[in-house]
Amino acid sequence: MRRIESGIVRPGWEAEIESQGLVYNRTHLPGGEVRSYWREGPFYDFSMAEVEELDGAVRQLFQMCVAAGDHVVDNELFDRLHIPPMARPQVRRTWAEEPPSLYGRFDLRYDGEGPPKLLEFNADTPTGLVESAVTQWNWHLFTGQGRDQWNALHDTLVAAWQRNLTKWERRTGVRPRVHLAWTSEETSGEDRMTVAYLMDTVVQAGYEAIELVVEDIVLDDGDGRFYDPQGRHLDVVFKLYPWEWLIEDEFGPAVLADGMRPGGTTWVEPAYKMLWSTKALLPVLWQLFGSDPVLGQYLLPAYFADEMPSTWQTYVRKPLWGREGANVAIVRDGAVAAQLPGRYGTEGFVVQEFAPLPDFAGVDGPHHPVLGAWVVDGEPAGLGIRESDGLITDNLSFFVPHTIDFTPPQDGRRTAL
Amino acid sequence: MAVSNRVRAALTTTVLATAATGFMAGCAPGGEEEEQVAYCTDEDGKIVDEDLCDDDDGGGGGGGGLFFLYLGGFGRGLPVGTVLPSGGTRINPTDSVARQRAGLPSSGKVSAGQRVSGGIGSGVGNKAGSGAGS
Repeated sequence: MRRIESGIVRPGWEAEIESQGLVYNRTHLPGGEVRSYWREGPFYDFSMAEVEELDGAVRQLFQMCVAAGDHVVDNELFDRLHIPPMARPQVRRTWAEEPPSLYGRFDLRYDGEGPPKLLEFNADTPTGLVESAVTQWNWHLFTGQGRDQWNALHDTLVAAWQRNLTKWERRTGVRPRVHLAWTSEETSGEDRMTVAYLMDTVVQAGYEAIELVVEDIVLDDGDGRFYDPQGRHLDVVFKLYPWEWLIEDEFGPAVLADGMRPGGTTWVEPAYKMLWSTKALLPVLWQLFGSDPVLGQYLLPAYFADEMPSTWQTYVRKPLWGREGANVAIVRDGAVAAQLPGRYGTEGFVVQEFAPLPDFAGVDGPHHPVLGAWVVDGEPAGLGIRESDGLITDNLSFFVPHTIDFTPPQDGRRTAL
Repeated sequence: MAVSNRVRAALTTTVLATAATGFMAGCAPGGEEEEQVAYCTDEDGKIVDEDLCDDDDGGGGGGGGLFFLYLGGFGRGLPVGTVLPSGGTRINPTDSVARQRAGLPSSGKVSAGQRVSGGIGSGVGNKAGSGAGS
C-alpha cells in the first residue's frame, strides 16, 4: 500500500466531478476558506494481494457481526446497547426474518503491513457512496491510472436490488415500488445525491423508484399505514435517516407498530441494523472474538466505558451513536489529548485501544487514511478512502481515490484514455 | 471475487446527473416544506366543527350546509370561526379516493388540524445540521 502524490490532475476536474454528482464537493470552512473534499492528483495504490487480504477480512468481519447480533438477541443485551424497549420487537422480528438489506461500510485501519483493524461498522446510513461508486470509478477510467480499482459497487447494488426486490415480490405477490427518502434538513446536497444515485440502481434493477423527503411521509390515522403525498402506499422505503432518530420522531411508534403488521412498510435498512450501527458492537465483538487467534487479529480491544480495564491510560473514547467523529476523544496517559465537539454521549461511550492511523505523509504534510470497505447484500463490494491531516476522521476529511497495481507511465508515453 | 464493475465504462446515472444539474442550477428540492394540515370548513373557508365533515354521519350533518375538508400549510390549533386563506386543497369529505390521495384517512372524522405529514424528520438527533449519514 502506498500513496502516490503527483498523479494526473484532469483539466476542469472540479466542474466535472460536480456534474457527475459530487455537488457537495466544495466545503466551506469556518473563517471563509473554501476547500475541495475530493483530492485530485494524489491516490492510494494497493497490490492485488492486499485487496484479497482486505476482502477476506471484510468477509470474516461480517460473519462476526452476524454472530454478535445473534449474541445480543439471544441474551437480551438490548439494555446495554441502549436500544429502547419499543424498538426491540421490530429488531427481533427483522433479525429473524431478514427483510431486504442493501449495504453497510466497515471503517478499517490498514497500512499494508499487518491485518486490517475494525474501527467501526456504519451499518444503517453509510455515506460516501457517490464518491466511492461513481466519482472514483470515473476518475480511474478517465485518467487511466492503475490496472484496476477495488470497486464493484454499481454492479453489486443493482444486483442487490434485483435479488431483494424479487424475493419481496415473491413473498407478497405485489410488485413493489421503491421510495427513497432523504431529510430536507441536509442542505449540502449530499443526501439528495446519494438518494438520486440509488434511484439509478433501483431503476437499472427493473423497479420503479420514487424520490421522497422524510418530512413529507404521511401517516394515515385510520389504518396506521404510510403513504407519500400523492397517496401511494409506501411498500419499500430506502431511508437515508438513522433508526435511532426515526424511533424518537413523532411517527416513530407508528413506524414500529406498522412494521409488526402484515403489509406494513418495509424499511431499508431494516430495524436490526440498530444492533450494528452502534459503537456498542465493538465491545461485544471483542468479548466474543478477542482471544481468537484468527478473528481477533481484525479487532482492537474495546470495552464499554464503565468496564474499562483499570490499567488503561491511553485509549480512544467514542459515543455509542456518534457520527463523523463527533465527541470522539483520544486520551493519552490519562489526559484528553484531542477531542472533537458534538452533541453525542448521553447514550454512553465505549473505549477502544488507541491504534493511531498510519501516516502516508506527503510534501504537504501528514495524511492519515481510513479505509471504508463496502459490503453490499452481505458481500464485500469495494473500497472508498478518506484521509485527514489529524488522527480523528471528521467531516473535514478528504476523499482520495485508489488503484490496484499502478505502474507509472513510461517516459514519453501517456496511458490512453 | 469480482474486484470491479464488469463493464469498464462510465456508469449510466441519469437520475443522479439530472439531480446534480438541478442542484447546481440552484433548484429547490421538490415538494412543499411546510407541514400540511386539514380542517373542516364551510364554503368560505371558515373553520367549523369537525363533526360536520365526518362522513359516518350519513348525510354530512346539519341542514343543507356544504362542508369540505380543506388542506394546506395553515398551522395547527386554529379555532372554529377562523377563516383560512385561499390556495389550499378542498376535498369532499365523502370522496374517499380524494381523501386518500391527499394523505388523509379515507373515511371517518378528520380532527381539526390533524397532522398529515411532518412526523418524521424532527427527531432529537436531527439538529446537528449535517447529513444523516455516517
